[in-house]
Amino acid sequence: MQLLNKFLKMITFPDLLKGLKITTKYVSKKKITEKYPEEKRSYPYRYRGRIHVTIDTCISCRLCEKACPEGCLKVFPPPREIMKTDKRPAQFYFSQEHCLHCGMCVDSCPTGSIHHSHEFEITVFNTKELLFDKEKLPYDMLKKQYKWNLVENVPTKVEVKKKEEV
Amino acid sequence: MMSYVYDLMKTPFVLALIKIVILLVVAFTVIAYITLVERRLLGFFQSRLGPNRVGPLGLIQPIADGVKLFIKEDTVPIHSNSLLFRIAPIFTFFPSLVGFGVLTFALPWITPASKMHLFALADVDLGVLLVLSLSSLGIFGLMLGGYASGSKYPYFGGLRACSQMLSYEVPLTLSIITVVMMANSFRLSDIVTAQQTHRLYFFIPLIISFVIYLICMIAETNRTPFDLPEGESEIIGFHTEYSGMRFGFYYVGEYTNVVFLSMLAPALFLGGYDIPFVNDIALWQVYPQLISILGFCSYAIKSVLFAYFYIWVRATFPRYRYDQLLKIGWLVLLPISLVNLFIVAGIKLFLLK
Amino acid sequence: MNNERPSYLREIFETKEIELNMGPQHPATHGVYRAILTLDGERIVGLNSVIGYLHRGIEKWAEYRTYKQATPIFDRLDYLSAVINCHGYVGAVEKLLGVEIPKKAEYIRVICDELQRLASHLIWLGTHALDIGAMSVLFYAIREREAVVDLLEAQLGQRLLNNAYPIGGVRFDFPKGWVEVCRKFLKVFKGKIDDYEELLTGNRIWRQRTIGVGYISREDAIAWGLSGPTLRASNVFFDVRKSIPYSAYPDFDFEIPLGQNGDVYDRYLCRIKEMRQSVRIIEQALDGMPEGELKAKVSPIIRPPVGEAYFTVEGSKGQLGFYIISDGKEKPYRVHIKSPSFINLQGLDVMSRHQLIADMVALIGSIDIVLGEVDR
Repeated sequence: MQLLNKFLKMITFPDLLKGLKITTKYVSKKKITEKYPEEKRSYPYRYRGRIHVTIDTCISCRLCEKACPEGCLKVFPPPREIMKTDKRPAQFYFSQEHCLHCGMCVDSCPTGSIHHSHEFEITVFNTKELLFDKEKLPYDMLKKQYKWNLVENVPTKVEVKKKEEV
Repeated sequence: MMSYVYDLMKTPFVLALIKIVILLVVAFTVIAYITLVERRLLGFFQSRLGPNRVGPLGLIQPIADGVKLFIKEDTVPIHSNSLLFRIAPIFTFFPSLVGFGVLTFALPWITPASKMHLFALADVDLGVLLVLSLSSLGIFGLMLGGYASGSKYPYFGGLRACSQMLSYEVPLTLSIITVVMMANSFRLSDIVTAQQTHRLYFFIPLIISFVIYLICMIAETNRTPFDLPEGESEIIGFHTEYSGMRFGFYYVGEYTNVVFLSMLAPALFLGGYDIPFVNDIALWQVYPQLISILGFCSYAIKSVLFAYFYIWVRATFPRYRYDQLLKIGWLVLLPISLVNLFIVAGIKLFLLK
Repeated sequence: MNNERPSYLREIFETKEIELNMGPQHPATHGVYRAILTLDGERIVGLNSVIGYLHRGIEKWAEYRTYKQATPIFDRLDYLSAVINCHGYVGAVEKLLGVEIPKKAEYIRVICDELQRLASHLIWLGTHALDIGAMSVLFYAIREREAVVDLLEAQLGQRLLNNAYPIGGVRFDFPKGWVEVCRKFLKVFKGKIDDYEELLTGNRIWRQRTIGVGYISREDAIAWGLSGPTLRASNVFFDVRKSIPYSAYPDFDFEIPLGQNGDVYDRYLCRIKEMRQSVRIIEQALDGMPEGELKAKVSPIIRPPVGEAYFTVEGSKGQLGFYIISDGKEKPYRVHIKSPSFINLQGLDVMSRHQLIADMVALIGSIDIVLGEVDR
């Protein structure tokens, strides 16, 4: 009986038919392809895109420079006389070329003036464009409409500070 | 002048030429689009979309692929046997294309002047034998291509292709022979007519031959789960060293084989251009044109079913190993098909006199 | 398992062994691994592994960074399970510092680790199946992995190389709604594993391709120092999560699946079962999530006392160990990595003897090497 059963299994291909059933199941199901340039997926709030710096709140403490494993941040504090009143850096360099998007600088910043934006299309034709300075670095997050995933909103340190001020 | 041209049109030679052109155009279009259909369908099986960028629904994709293959550099490796390397792709491509000539696509077309035109290029007496011998010729392309490349991976591919084709040709032929015995003829249109007159498609009495044909059909065209000569993740295949249009010939050749074998299968087992559940021949005498066209459609649908089966199998199954493949060919399929042949022959001899 | 060709054949026919160079640009070597095979026909009689095409000097690199700065680079070891690598390194530094991690942080770490294990195993399943020729499984596996990676992205901020944990705990709690999404995914995912199993486990072609192929005995597996599912398929009970418990793993109830024969099929089954166990662990962790701090108090500049520490975690490929020597300065004196892929690769020689080229492909897939971890 067992032998007959085995023989029947051998000639009727139940295992192969099962597999064929699974693959047909997905023909009519919804497809998972994202048509990228036309349809952009939403990004969660914590997504670590290109670094964004709010120069106005920066106090030139250079902690981010020390935290960066690749040394892609360079902060030049203003001269000492100005430093007493205005702590904003005289110059600020950021090299996108070496950035790992690891978030160490964001962790270390005491004022929350450095954080990740949601900009991820950072490819350029010329590597010189990857070096950012004080003028070029800040960019308006709202100008480019990146969809935000509304799973949750953990406020960044900047927003917390703003709230406290209010 | 016009009448002269019209007269010329009626000569059998020119008529045949026109038929050839139509057949080639249709065949090439079908072959080009089956590549697209396969990729789209594979995508659907795998819950993705497949190529959908070139043109609406990706319909211009085959043309884009063709253009790409044409403008690619055609490289010939230094260590290759240059002449063989150059001509090998032609060996796979053309034999499979010739096969379309012997297929009959519908019942004869009757013109208003009550002249009969066959829906075939040449309805050869020994059509089945011709088809089989042509499909065996296809091996040379793979073998020579693999050998001539002068590289180890294609060499393995060529060896595999050779032994695989040899071992699967035998059960394939034996399974077709049973059909021939049932129909009493090697002519493809006679086989279909036999199924029409018996009102019984051969896949019901010859179910074993049908299953063997399905398996060998896949093995014959080197597709998953028997795509060892190509075996893209093991040995990259017999066409590793090919590029440009020479690779294109192999690629197109494979699909030509697919299209051809899935058009041969309905003729042998599913009643070809017979319309199911209808007495075709009686109706044909009343409405000849209509039944011809409907028969052609039914033939097309049946072929599409087989092509779909090819793609479906490719999407689902893993690949066999080389030794297992040969084991199945010689130790499973060959004995079964031989026994099947004897049984069918016995039934034919003693029961169906 | 004697696959050797009878010697009389060799006397009748003048056969010759040939050398075949497999890789570094071969689709089935999972990266830039190169194997020089000595072949008798299609049978493998000798294997010479050549590695080092992806050597980046990560161990040396870490010596030139402070303890904090060195964290993100260890994601690049086994880039398919970055979270677990990070856990290993961070755990070693914490052991060196003698920091006690809050319970909640440990739970979050366990959840992220197990999700990452799922993602890594899914990639393995897809590529392994593709190597053997089953095409659809790859896309089904990638589809589910996408969901896992999305979850990790929402929690950690990146998809692949997520610098997951800071030294001393975790950065964030789970975002709002994350737990529900995760539970929903786990529920769906159980059915998806059944789908993979129906496509492969019972399939006669898959069974013929994998059963009895690449056998390695219990003794050999131990002697070659294999670990992870590759070892457990040879019926050896060793899983760091149970044998040398770390993090919050002792709190959870889960099994360690063992194989019987030590062939490719058993390794496949082991990993599939492991995925089910991972789902179980995550569900338990989500249910029993404690309240509390996210991060222990660690001084911003880390200067561990002079000494050394060895910390191992169960990586998705096997036992992943970090050995750190401190000389009391800001930078580690030496970081040594015991990477599972590198050691598992040594077993390939034993496994591949007298197998066919096609089996070689299945074998490389079954031990699940990631060349980033082999070459370091």
